[in-house]
Amino acid sequence: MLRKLFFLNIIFLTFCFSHQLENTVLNILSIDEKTIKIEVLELRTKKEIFSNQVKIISSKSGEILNEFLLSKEKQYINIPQKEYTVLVKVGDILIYKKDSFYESFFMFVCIFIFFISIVIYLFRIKIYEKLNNN
Amino acid sequence: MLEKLNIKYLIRAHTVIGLFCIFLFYISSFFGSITFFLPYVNQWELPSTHIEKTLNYTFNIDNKLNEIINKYKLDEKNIEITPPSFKDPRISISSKDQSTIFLNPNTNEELDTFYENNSIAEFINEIHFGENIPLIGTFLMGLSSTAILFLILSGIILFISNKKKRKQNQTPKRFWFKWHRNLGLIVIPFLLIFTITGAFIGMMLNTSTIFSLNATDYKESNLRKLVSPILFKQKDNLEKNEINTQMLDLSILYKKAQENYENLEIKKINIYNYNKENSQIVFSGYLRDNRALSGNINRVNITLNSINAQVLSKTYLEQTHGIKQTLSAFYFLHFMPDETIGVRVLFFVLGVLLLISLVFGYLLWAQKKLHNINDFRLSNFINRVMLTIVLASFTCVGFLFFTHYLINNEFLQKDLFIKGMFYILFFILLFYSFFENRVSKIVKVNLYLSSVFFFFSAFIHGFQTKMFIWDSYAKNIDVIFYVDLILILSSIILFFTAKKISLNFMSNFNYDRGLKC
Repeated sequence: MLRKLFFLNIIFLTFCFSHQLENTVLNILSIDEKTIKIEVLELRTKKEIFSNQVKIISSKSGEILNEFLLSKEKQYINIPQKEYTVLVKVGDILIYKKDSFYESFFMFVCIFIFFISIVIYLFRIKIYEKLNNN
Repeated sequence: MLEKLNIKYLIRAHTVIGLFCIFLFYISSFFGSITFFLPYVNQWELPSTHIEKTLNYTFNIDNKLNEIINKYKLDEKNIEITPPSFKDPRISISSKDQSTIFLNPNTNEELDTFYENNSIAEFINEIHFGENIPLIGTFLMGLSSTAILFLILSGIILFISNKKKRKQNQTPKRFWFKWHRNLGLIVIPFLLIFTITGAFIGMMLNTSTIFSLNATDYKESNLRKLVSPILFKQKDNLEKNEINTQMLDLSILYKKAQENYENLEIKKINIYNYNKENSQIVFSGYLRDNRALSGNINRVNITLNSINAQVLSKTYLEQTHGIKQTLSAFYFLHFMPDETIGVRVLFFVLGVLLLISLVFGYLLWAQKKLHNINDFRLSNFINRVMLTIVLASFTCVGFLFFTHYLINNEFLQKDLFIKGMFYILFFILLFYSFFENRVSKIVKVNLYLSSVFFFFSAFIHGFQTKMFIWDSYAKNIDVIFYVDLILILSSIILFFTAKKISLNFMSNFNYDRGLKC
């Protein structure tokens, strides 16, 4: 029973962290060595959308490197010299490329703690079970 | 009334089904009770909503609208404006798939909301609906609501049939049973509203695929796609027109709409073909004398010609589809979209009574199992899980408030970090609950932790927004002041409750309950 619960918990956590509620997709396409194209698509229709606020920030310091309103002409930009992240505001939701490392990290920690909890429980309960039976 | 054997089976069914759904329903009810205050929590977590109330304020963006539309190149086909309300004191201007612009209603200044997000409100809502478990989460919540319907019915039958017995035999009832029954009976009307609507939203809408496939000869599985064009028909965009014509000021059109539809409480304004010859403006909202049937799903509206303020059309409640009215009533009962603080507080209190009744119901079963040596391992496991769910819900919610302002908005992974740490804290508390023998100690640790989180969340909020509780009081920013005050009061109550708990509290649920060592 406890083993089943443990595996159920893994499934639950995998679901929790893989869940996305976004309606738009941000694509950053490399055009050549110097240029990238920023493309925002509506998830359902795959139609490109424009006139959204875009910020290109330094991934390390968060400093704003470039800021503009997305349009057909401004879709193509020079690659910034610093390591960068592209942020687009659609409605009141901020869209950016998410790093899946953190999801895996949190999932691992939760599963690890749960595993240890069950082991501890079994150790604790064995002692008291014997004592109570006697 | 019922035969002895039937009553026995009914009690058994009541217990088994209750146990099956209590974990999910407790979580749903706990977070659901907080969602009554979600509009206020939402304001607390967004610094741009910390707006001072000015006297004689009137909604007027005549001088700003054109500037915003040009600056952000909003789609002139359909521009949506949301006036300030008790849910959000800001003015929002947007068009489909573009960034929403927020204005301070006092000064009409643009607010910087680029990095802001309402992580607490969204996450609490997600857990309430079971959306954090995709595919099956909402269905499971709906299923547990359906099970609660059975529990209500069986509870009533058991109450009536037990009444006779009670008259014959006036023995005192056990504490858990007495309060499970009494509180359960008090909250029945409230519970019925939420379980019926919850079951409808969670279970019926999630299992509609079969009906859609059947109705369309296996061509379409999404019911919404089938019914939306009929039930939720949106006003089509107007024909393209190249002739520029200055439309009347929004304030004049707003006034005209109010004059021509006195009963309408305007919640949204849509301008079609802005500043074009054929421009129209639609004011939609709810009817002051019928909020339920003209709720979010079934808004009524008035359409004006934007150029000369001539009334083009008006929708009356009687003209709307019966199913839309029913849906509107359902959604109104569950979400209370337009109700302000009074009803929300009342429903919150009933929600708390329901939670206590659920816990006492569980304790009834748990107490019976205490003396069964064969069930020692399983019953202890379930007890500890339940204990963690009940107590960690407080601690984890406190932690949500605490971390929201602790992590900077500019940190992009904030949302994920908050969720991740929320789950980690839950599992740490579960670990502690398994590890610790004494239940009283587990309760104390949880209550102290929640108290610390709630207390400091109010002050971290102050440090980050430069608006401490005394500032919001002085500036008359009621919502922020009251949310901070409730956080501090909750912290004090939790602290003193923890202090009051003796070491023998619920000692019969300790692992070593049968031992004298």
